[in-house]
Amino acid sequence: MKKRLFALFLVICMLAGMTACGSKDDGGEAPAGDNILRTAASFAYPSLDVHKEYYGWYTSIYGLSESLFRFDENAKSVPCLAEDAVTDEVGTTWTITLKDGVTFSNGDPLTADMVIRNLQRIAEVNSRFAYFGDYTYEAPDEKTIIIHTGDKVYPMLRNDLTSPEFGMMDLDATTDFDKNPICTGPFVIKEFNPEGDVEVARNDNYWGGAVKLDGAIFYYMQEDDPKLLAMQSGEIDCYNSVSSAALEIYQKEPDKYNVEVVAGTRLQFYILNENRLDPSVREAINLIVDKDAIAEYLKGTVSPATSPFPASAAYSQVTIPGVDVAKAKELLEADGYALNADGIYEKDGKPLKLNICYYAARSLDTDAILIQEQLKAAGIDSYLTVEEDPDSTYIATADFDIALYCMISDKCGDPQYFIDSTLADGAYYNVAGFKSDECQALIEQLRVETDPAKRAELANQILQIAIDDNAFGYVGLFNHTTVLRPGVSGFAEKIPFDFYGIDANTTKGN
Amino acid sequence: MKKRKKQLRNRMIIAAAFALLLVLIAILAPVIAPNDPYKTSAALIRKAPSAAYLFGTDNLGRCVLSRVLIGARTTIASTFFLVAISFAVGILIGMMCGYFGGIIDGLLMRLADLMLAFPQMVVAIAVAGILGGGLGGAMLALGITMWTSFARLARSHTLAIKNEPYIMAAKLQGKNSFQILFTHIFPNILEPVLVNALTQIGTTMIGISGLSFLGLGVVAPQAEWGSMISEARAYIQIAPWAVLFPAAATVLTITVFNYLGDAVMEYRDAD
Repeated sequence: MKKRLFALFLVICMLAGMTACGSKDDGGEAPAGDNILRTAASFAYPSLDVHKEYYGWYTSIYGLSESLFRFDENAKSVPCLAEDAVTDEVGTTWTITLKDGVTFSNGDPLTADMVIRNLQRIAEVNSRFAYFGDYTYEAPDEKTIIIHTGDKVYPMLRNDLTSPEFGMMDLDATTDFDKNPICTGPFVIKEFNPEGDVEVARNDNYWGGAVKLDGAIFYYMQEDDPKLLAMQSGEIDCYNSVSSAALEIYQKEPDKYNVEVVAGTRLQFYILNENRLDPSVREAINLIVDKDAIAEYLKGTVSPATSPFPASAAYSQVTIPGVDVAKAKELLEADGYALNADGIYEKDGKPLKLNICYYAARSLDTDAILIQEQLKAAGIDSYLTVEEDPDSTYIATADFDIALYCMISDKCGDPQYFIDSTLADGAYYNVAGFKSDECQALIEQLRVETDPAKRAELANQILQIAIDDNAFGYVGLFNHTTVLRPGVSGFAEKIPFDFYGIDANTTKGN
Repeated sequence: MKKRKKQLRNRMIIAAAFALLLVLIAILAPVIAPNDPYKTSAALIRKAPSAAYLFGTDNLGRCVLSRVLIGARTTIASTFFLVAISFAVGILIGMMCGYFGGIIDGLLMRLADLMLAFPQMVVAIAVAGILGGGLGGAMLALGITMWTSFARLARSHTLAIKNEPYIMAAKLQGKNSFQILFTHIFPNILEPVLVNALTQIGTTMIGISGLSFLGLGVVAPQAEWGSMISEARAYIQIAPWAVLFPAAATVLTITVFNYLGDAVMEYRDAD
């Protein structure tokens, strides 16, 4: 009896302990009424050096750095630190005019000379922009920068200067580029934990006027679950890149959460290996894969792709055949494939069994399972190969039949980046045998064309060649999804890019 | 004493009956599964348990009951296979070490010590990570450390009996070492090592499901309880059944096999 009473006592103690652990007071809930925004960041980098790697994306999100231009809600490059950028008729000389009164957080003015030195530093430390080292620069006065691109026509210079890597730093006053860069943004660094949480405070010298928040904390949370739980417990006020399951939960309680969904530019696509697959098989695959059905599974987070770019873009006007399984089967049968006893197409006694490679992020695992099932229903067998790092595995070796990948297709309001990355000869993602002289000639034209309408027309022609060749399949474009507590606004929730976060107008609505 | 022995035997029989039932379910899974476990359906995403889908449906509209049943095959079959291989390798190494001694014994036992110096799951995660995804990789990762317990047990029992008169008699009869190992030593150490194998089933199942949960086990879309829990935890708040049922199946199966192992051991020790 005594033993049982003791056991009961222990159980009561345990339950009391668990209740105490679950108390909301201990849960780290945000103090009510303060003017500090708390949010979650999916990635955390070891450095805040704006110019290196992709660190500038996060210094932009933290509200530390600003570029000469920024993108608005319509993905249009609008003035930020610079008033304007104009080119001569040839497209080899650009003149940039800075805004009046732009200062760094230490009060020093942003000068034309400082901008030039920033551009030269970017060329030195970031290999993606090394070509800025080939140009010559002039600063005829404090507010004007002239860039000569030599004999290379550079029509998209203004758009590229809008990239967050082109955030301006005070190169003279900054002593620690990795931990405390002095920039022009509405916030300054308060505490930086490399690859961890980041805290920023209001920049009292902000050149753009009053900053509404006192500061912000970015908690590093990789997984979706902690973000959802933190949002529900009140520990954070907002975050973006919301998962479909969390989206469903938030949308059920509109009085507690505001959800913003805008069309984004992060593309899910697959590469069809031309070195391994017959043209008929590639065409059949593209006729079978049902991107509308896939988007239905990824409720709200992905929109079916009608091209690599959002449907509204001028350079997105291409024709992709719709789903037509009957036609796919006809094509295979005309090419000598016949269904075997297992219901799988085979040719010369060899069944079609494709290797679908993917990595388990950005919902590509869901895509892989659904594509496998859609193909199987039509008579094409496949197996899935999952890799942790696609770049060092199947993209590097081209050892796949179908390779799933996800990347930002449009990061500066122009199609050239995606076309150069996937379709040009020797491009990083052109690893599976796509080659077209006509396409390459058009890409060369695109690289020097300055008229936006003509650029769009060229891009449409280039994309159509790849589509007709069945070199790729464009599955879905991620929506830019943001959840905010009522009253919170200005967290770049209406901008389709991932590299903006807080700014001077961000508010908690206190 | 006899009453106690009878109680233990009954306990063992009940545990064995439950274990057998689970094995039968795993074998008959393709026949008794009410739906295709791999068939996705956009119209059935995350449906709550109903008459048509007793355990509800998952994030891709697949029948959770059918996946739990098919998952039983994957989980139980791979566990049995891994325990059997580890048992065979371990008992062979243990017998040879115990019987021959010397350098081979020293080397293999130091290797076993090395393996035992690290927690099994830590080694398994590292090895499975290097080998990449796949059930084969996960099994190999667990098997690398698993044979050691069988080898140590087999060695100690071999050492205990290798100087018994019947072994000496066999030697005098002119039987060679391998004949003695397999006809005289093996049958006499089989029972304790077999009982150890039974107690390892539960742990191994946790290991395989754990690796799959971490994404180091089965490759999608193969149904396996650990990977099902991992996939479904992202939407646990809106479809808890997709986590609950594979988790319950894991707990139940591990409990049954652990109970069986304990029952057999207690029955044996009661002699």
